Amino acid sequence: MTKKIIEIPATRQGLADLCKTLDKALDSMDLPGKLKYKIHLIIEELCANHVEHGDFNEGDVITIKFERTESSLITRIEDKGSPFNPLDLPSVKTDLSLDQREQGGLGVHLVKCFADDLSYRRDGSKNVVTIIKNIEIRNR
Amino acid sequence: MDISSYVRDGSRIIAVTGRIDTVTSDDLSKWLEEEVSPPESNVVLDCTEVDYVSSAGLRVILQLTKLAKPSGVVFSLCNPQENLKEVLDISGFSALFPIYATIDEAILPGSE
Repeated sequence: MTKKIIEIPATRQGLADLCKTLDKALDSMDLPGKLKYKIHLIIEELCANHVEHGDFNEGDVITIKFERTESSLITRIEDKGSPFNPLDLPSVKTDLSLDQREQGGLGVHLVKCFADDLSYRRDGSKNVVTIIKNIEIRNR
Repeated sequence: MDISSYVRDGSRIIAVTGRIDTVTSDDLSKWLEEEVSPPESNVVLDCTEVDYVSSAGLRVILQLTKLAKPSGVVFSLCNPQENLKEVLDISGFSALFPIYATIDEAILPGSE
């Protein structure tokens, strides 16, 4: 099992840093390209939501913990922001016409579509979002 | 992310290189406000060199689509990579505007 931890400031600048450091972290975990794209997108969307809604104090951080097993990648996103369950956000309606389409809700929709399993819990003063992506085992 | 733009056969081609994400989407949005608002001709977003688009990028694409409609011009997107195509499909965007394989098809849709 490979483990990795990334920590970013819970700010817009932190998100900018994340977009750079995330690629390196995912590269080191031997993931198929398509899965890397999806997990990158899931993490970016969730962290962006948390920065926007988390009501953070200066110095607060978001911690992203990876556990790579042979058949899955488990990602835990933890922060000490105000309680925020991304699963509570309404799903965007994707079959509306252009005039009816609104700008919000797409990020969580993508996260729900791309994650094989997605769960949230409030652990004391922490938000913990767990994402599981299954990895197809080749050459077996 | 880099943005370049040119006119070909009466269509405005916007070619983006790199990532359209939480960080870069504001730059693209501002650029569109300054350069393509309102659009004066059909607009094609060339995604050949786009590596990644998050929901922030999708919001800018929606903004561009909504800019085009009242102006009576057609917005289309061309040559998305496989991952981007999937994002466009599951977001329902593939039904909002035409997606072409090449710039030639986007400029002259009858030539498909």
